[in-house]
Amino acid sequence: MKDGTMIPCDQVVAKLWEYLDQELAPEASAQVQQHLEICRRCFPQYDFQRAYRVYLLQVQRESVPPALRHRIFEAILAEEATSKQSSDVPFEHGTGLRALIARIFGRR
Amino acid sequence: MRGSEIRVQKVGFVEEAIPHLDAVYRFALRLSRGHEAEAQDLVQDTFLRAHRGWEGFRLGTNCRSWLLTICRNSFLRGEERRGRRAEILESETDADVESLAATAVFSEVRENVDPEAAFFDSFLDREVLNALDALPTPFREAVVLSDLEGLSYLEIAEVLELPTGTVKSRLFRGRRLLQQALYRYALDNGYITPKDRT
Repeated sequence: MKDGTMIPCDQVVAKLWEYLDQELAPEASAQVQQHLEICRRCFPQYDFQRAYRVYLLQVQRESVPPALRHRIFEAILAEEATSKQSSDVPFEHGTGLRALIARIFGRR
Repeated sequence: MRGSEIRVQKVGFVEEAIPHLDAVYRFALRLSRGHEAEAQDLVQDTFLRAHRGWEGFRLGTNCRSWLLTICRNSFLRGEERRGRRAEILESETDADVESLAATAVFSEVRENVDPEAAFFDSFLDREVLNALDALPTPFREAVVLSDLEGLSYLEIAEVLELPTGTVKSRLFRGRRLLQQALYRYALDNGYITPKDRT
């Protein structure tokens, strides 16, 4: 890493998370990438941290249980009904909203 | 006329907010350290508050961040009510971010695993989530938002109401704590065998 165009190993290691998180400016990111392509010392650490990121992103992604979806759906409609009573919202407003919520809730 | 205005606003709510239900649920699950009933209450509270406050949300801004902020505030209020004090962290400065970034658990793993990247393959999802749930809240929330939900530093800063430098510091420390916990767990459960120890 004596080449004048290369940034040193300690700077690369210090920027690894930001590099992996795609938070570096394009120029800094390119410098890190260029270094990693040829540095056998830094690459294993990069590989380890990348494996962590990839692994965490693949951890089981839970979805809202159907019963909770339904509960929230009903609670929102109940609030709509209350606000409808206290304003002059036309009746079809509630009906349309129910249809729309049902469509979006049922989309998954 | 007034009716049609309200209709537009509420329809906007359903179309903008409901698609983020799963993300809010997952965040709530991790905030509540995997307690299903508490998480469900948090999600319902979040969406009802968001629905009531929808007029205050500016269309075109980040609805997911807005909902996650409401969810977190609701969680913190609950913690206060239960008498749980917020964890107090040592002083955090932007200056320590680079040194934090450089101190991964990599060097310890390297002694016992080859190739090092294969280390994470040995865990079940449940084990990783348990380790994550054991992190102090300030680290847990940063790691969850970044590593499970894929938010940018800026978005996380918005949700946690912190400067991005502090977000980085919490994220890097949280990742290190999580990796340390997984490393100890792997050693204790024989997933990896310490070398050079007799």
